[in-house]
Amino acid sequence: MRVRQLAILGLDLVGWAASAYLTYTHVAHVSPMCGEYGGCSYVQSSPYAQFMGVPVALLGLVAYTVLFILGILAFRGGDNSDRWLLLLLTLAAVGTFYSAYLTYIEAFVLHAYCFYCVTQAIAITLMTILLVVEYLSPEPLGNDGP
Amino acid sequence: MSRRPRRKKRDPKLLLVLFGLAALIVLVLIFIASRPKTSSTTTYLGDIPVQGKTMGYPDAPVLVEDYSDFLCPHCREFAEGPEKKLIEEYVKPGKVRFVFRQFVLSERSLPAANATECAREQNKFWEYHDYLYAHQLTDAPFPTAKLKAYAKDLGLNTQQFNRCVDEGKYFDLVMKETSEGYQRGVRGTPTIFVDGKMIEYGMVWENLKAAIEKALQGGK
Repeated sequence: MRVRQLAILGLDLVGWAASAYLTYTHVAHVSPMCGEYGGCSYVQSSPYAQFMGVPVALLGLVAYTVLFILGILAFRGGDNSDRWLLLLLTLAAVGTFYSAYLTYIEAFVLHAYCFYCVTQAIAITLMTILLVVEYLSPEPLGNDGP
Repeated sequence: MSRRPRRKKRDPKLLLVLFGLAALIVLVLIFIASRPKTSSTTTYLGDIPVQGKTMGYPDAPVLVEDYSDFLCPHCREFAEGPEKKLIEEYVKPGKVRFVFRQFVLSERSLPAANATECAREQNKFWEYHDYLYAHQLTDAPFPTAKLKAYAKDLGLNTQQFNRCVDEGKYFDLVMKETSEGYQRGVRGTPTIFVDGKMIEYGMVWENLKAAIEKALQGGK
């Protein structure tokens, strides 16, 4: 696995950890530990932190898990690796756009930022950029390269 | 041995299609997520936009936050005096967005705070807020029957409201906001923040007005 591929999986784990922590705080009914800006509880208790009654953090956790599995499938090579990469890229782009929307909500509607939300937004954006580079790279995906 | 064939060059146009598809999916998700449910935009006092516990125009340059407790007499005095001036002089003209934040001083305040959140669920936070303060002198600490009666007076969906009150649905949210206030240095009520900065004796109109004017002029 190349460094870029490892970086993609690493960024996925960053997003996974942030989502897992926010899911935990939701389930355990505790306030997220938040830096001096202290907007986490406010953001997390807003209606935007739920999607059709499901915590967005939990959806993020599921999404990052799926992305990780797709990453493994794509980067191990094989006949279907290109398809896995395309699916991974599409889902990562969905995640990036939705994170951009949520960050917009934080900035212009709630006027409060949640450190973990912003962290995962940065992670998914970088991940998508690296996936685009990976896609456009002429090198094979798996270890069967030249 | 010859080199393995390099992967055939991928089509960048396909990327555009996929990104377009992703954007479309997100737009649908946002549409679904933003359908009216617990908190949508409404108005207060005629034409002031309200979203949950925030009132004012979205592009108003200054943010004023009020940490208050519905059982606290000074909070009532603030709500009935300086807050009204704030709304008239700064919120209505689009200079200030005003946010209410829960800060319960004791467990006794939880039911009333929860009830205001139940009213928020039905876009009537500010109306309920005013109504509670108007009845504070006679009805505090607001027995459940009173909280439910107010909802009826204000024309809320009482079935939904009563269930919300009985469940203590927003106790967690109230406690979260209180602990967040505590982390921000709130130790008593009402405590006022202007653009994130705590204002000493901000419940006094002259102090609050001075802080807002300073913020409007770009001073922090």
